Amino acid sequence: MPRKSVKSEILSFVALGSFNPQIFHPAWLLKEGIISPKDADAIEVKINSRNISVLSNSWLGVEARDLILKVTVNQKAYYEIVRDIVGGIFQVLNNTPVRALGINNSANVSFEKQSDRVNVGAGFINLDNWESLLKDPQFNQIVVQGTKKSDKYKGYQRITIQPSIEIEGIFIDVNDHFELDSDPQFEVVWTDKDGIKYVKGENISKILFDNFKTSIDGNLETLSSVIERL
Amino acid sequence: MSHTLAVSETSQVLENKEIQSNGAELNSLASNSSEQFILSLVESSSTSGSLVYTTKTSDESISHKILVKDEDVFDLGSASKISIANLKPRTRNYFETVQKWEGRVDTISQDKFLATITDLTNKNLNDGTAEIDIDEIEEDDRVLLKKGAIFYWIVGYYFNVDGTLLSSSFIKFRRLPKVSDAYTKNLELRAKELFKNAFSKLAE
Repeated sequence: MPRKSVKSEILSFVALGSFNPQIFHPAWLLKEGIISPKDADAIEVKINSRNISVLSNSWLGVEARDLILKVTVNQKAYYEIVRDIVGGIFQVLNNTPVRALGINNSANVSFEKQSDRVNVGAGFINLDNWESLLKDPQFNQIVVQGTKKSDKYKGYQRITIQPSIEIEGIFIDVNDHFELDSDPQFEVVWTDKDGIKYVKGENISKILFDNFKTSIDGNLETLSSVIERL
Repeated sequence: MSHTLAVSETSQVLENKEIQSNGAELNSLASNSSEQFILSLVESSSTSGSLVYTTKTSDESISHKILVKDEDVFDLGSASKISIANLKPRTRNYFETVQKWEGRVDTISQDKFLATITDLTNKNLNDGTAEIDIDEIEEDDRVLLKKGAIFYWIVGYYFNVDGTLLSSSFIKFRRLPKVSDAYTKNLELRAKELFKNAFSKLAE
């Protein structure tokens, strides 16, 4: 068993929809009662424009673009607090059109020996099958998707294993994906010119307050099993 | 700090694999009849690793010890021996969570409040009760202190990039946006007006 250690564990919430990035500002979060005055003071606004807003403090990251909102938390102490922040945002943006939500747990894993890192894919794919197609085939990225095991929402669980861009090691992401646009539980309120369907933003709050623990527990169990198999 | 915590059960013992996934290898962990352990490996900004060693004893008291050593082996007496491998310094401030509870305020007195707390770290533990000084709550959050309010109580260690390490706990009350009755009424009125205008235009 290779000697390895987990270097960082990140939780992120990714919502796909139609957003106005400029409103994502600590003053707005404070005004809506989503964060405290102290937290609002501590948040650094890296960029705030019509196309993109990026905010962060020592435990929270917010990136808003036209079609995507990503909120990350890098310390376990704040997981529920940030869940409430995202849930609060979509209680305010209750009519904002959204079509999907991802709850992702990811980790960077380092290895004591470089050779262990290179061979990491061996536990998941058989490279022998590739030797007739490629010379010296090596693991680059693995993405595997399966149906959800334990909740009532439509979607899938996706595991990604790839080289880390942060450390000399491996990055693993477990994505619990909710397909709101095709889930019969949610009413489609808008279809755009490309035929993409949207539901109300308030449904994201409902999922987060109803299913967060199930989602996180499932993700972390999968993440830990993947790390064990590396 | 004067937290009085009623723990319903004795605490968890992290499994060997969890400790390994944090970069440490557990050589042996002999159980002691009077104590159970929570072991949490953390990394400091120094070149050595740090180990948070928490015990809960049968009289329900909790203690935390920090062990920081340059050598590879942490010897916890007869209780356990743990070796640490390959720890790298952290590059940012970090809060290492040892225990996390979600609480619901039950009663409030002049300077304290009683709450029912649910362990978020170990879901197998039963709910407990905590008596917490109001002084422990940040000024910003005191307006949120009312019966039924939800809060998170996090206990752990705070690591600064300069290498200092502090035993720490903090309480954060749940904040959710409040939609006032006046605001809702105003929206209803505006919606009615819009409908009225739309229909009158159609009628024309």
